[in-house]
Amino acid sequence: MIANLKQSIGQYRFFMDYRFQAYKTELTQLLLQLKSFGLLFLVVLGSSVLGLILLLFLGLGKIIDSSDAPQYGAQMAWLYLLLQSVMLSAMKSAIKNSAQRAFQQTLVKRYWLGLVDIKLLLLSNGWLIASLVIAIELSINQWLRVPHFLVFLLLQFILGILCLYKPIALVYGFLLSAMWLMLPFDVSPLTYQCGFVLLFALSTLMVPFNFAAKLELSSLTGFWLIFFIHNSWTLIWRGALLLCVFMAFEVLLQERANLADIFSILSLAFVVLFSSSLQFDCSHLHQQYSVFFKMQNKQTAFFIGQFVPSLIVLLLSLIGFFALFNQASGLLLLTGIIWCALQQAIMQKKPAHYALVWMITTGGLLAALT
Amino acid sequence: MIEVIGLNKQFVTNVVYRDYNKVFSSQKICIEAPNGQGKTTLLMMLAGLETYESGELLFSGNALTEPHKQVAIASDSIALPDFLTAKQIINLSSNTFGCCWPTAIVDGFNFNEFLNTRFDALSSGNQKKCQLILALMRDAPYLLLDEPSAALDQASIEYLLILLDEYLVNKPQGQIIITCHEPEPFLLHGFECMPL
Repeated sequence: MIANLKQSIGQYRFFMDYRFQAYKTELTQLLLQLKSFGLLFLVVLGSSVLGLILLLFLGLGKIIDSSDAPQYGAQMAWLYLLLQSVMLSAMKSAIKNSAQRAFQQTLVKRYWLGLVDIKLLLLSNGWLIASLVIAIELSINQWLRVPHFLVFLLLQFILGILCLYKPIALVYGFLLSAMWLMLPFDVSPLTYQCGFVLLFALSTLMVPFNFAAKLELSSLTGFWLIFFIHNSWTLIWRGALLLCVFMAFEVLLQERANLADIFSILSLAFVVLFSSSLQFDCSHLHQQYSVFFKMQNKQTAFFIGQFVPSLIVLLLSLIGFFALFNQASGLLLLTGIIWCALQQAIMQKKPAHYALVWMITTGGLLAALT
Repeated sequence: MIEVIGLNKQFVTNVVYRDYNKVFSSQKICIEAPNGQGKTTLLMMLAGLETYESGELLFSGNALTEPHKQVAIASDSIALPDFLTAKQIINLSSNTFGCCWPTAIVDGFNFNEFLNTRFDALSSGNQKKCQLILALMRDAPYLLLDEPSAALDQASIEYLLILLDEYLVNKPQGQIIITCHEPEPFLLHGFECMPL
């Protein structure tokens, strides 16, 4: 009995070591894929890491202390959960070691896989760790005043699990909870969070509907459309980050309305960054299937087609920006289109310089403005 | 007749063909060569899908200006969009080639029940069938099939052989070139074995 237990523990430790090794390897690969953004991450994000961490905690503060503005706090929570889901989606295959899933099942009991998945999920979920850091600091009295934060913590954990095992429920859940947030009345923070729990629970019961498979495909437009339906997360994470940029713009505008032009240029810079970087995905797809389309003598149309999705995302984002903040400007639109086209061209010719060109252009536009 | 004259092809430093000359005169040819000798590369070059450093590829004495109209190819080297269903891929191709939906070929390969399956979820045999359907439906005079029987079940191989028997009936100038490591069934159906 004891010998068996010892053997099991030994096996579990070996398995855990393997999974941790696979996790590290895949994360390294993931970071290598960001090589094209390397300089950008190093200079822009790298130097503002402290600021980002601060923002993360400020956001949490708004979620915890939302009794005065429950709807705003709930919106912040929704955005926070969305960003967490986007990050975990990117790390999912590393957490689960998806590539060797069948191999893992030949090694150990099935429930061990789930156990290790959850361990690695907790290790990867920086958003939940940040919340737990604050949770530990709260006193009993404070906890009694903010019971909704406990529900929020639970949501963070559950959404992580949904991300691993039932990602389609996340899509339905976020759509339903966005509607819940748009209802024209304020309820208590706890009611908002309980509403989220209920809606995400309902989402797990919804039957996945693969309408992409039902689409008749007769043109290149349909080809791109189906590609983005299947790879919707490339659009979702961009949308989520743009939402953050727009929220930040709104806050900054309230604080310093006299700097509106500078904030507009900065917002435009991020819109261009998120839309033109879509070219990395489109270019990869182009490389992958260029022979197939060459076989059909459609290589020119396919080549040109790869530049269109970025421009569509740019236009939709700018229209959204103009509509939300009443900042419609032909000059801003024209600058955005030219800049996006430039970034796309740089990505095609010299991808290593993509981030550098973006930063120089941003700096140049800000300098021209001041 | 397909003539290869003075062909030079290399991948970075790996020379695949150096001043290679060959005449494929039979209507049905099975190229045999060990792995890594450049069989697939040759088919891809004949189909105009792979570039080469120098040389000439002549079809009935002429270089093809629009190979996609006269040459149909099925090969694992051509990545098909794996996020689309087989039906969507065939639809896309039939629309761009301007040919009809290949009802008879799909039926013959017993492929109907897999039409709504994503390409990446198809078995290797069904992926091969999808490649063959795309090539055969075009009815091009020159048909190039890279390992056509690999992963196919016996019934499908027999159906393919029937299709190939009939393929050149209305194409006096046409040719079928295949590569195959197990050529016996094809030899029984009139294919001539040729070394590379």
